[in-house]
Amino acid sequence: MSIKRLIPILLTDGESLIKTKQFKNPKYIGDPINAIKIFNDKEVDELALIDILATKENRSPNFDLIQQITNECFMPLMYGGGVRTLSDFETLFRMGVEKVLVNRLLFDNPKVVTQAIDIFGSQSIVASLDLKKTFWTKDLKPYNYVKDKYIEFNSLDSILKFLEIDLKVGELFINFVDKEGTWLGLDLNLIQLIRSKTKLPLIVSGGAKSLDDIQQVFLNTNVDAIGIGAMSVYQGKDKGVLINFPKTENILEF
Amino acid sequence: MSVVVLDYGCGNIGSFENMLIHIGVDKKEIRFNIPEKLDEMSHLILPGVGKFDTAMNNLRNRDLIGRLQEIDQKGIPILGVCLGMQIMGQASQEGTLKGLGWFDGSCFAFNTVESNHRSVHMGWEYLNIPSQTTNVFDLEHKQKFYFMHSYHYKTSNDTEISAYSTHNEQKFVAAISKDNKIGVQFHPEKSHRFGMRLLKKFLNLSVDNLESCREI
Repeated sequence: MSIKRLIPILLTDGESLIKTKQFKNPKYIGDPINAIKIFNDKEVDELALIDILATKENRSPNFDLIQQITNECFMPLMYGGGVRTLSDFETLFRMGVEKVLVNRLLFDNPKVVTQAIDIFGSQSIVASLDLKKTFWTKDLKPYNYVKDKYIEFNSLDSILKFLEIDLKVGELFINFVDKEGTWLGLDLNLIQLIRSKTKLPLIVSGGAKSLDDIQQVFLNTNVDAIGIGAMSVYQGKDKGVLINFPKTENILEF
Repeated sequence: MSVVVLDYGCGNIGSFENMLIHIGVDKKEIRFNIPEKLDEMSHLILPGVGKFDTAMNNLRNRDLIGRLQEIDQKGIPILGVCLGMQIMGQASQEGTLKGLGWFDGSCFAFNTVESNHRSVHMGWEYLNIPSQTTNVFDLEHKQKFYFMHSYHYKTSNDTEISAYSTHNEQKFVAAISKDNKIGVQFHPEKSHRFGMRLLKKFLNLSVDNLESCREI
């Protein structure tokens, strides 16, 4: 039996939790430690914390905050945001982070990623791609939110091959930028497209609106995990902040 | 009650501290080093993340090996977690040094025969409890725990084995116990309610109330 994973995706500006919509207009959500305590109570199996401003602001991860969070977390934690050097990886793993997520580093300095994989093992290194449809052709391309433009690469296929075969990362985390924070539902077609292009363990995120929506994706595609952002921090679409997690007993086993 | 979560440079002791506090242990009752007088401690948790030889070297360099043997001889309940469990055995394929020798078996790398097999076991997995064990883990409830390891324990002494789990479609030893000692390959401190329940049961053991670690 394979246990599918449902992962709350928490975004931070380095201090507080925030939430964006299509990667824009960050709104304040609350204190990260309080959120962790709630997720502990909800018995979440895995959590992701992403500092979405670290690279843009050209700063390192907030290690103090991350240490507080790993101490507080009763489940494994994946961290991403501003990871640039081998020492960053080492510090994060030593603090108790289980997996490190990399995005910019894959393109800016893939050698560091390779070194990290050699030392810490591929299972602990997750490659993150933010995919956005181009205006005219509606092709899916990786988006560089720091420079607010698309990353130049031959094709989605070639990037995926690069990650799977050249770098050999342990897992792939795909964000569908156009859907993020919209509550429009996960995009089955796009998810199936990505699934068909790579054998890597796959986490998808962007647009999840309900438990039903999530179940449909698990039933109809072979993704390993779904990340939920807005669903974890808001009461509902256009509603107020509420740190929450749906009851998943018996629905994640396929 | 005085729980020692041993800090020997190999594990995130903060997570244990927080989980212990969450299940009702007073912060003052938790320490990270072994007291001069062993009467002052009631339980030992041996965490472990990293490599076998690093762990054994760290213990040796901090003069802890002798102290650990004394703690064991006194019959103080000991919980070894992940690498902390592995070092309780004889040796490991991962390193060249000897373990503490409290259990008969040793650790080996996972076989990766099929293309979908992974050398590292990372993720949540269910335990299965051998029917002949009166076990630490409660047969009634389906229990899953978080695992993260590349080496696993093998022993020819079946009486040591308290639980199995599965990886690469193969059964492997997930927990061992003997007298005052329990070893778990998984991470209770990352397994929310399942981990908390395990720790509560562990804390219910005492020097005078052991019978066997199996009978909690």
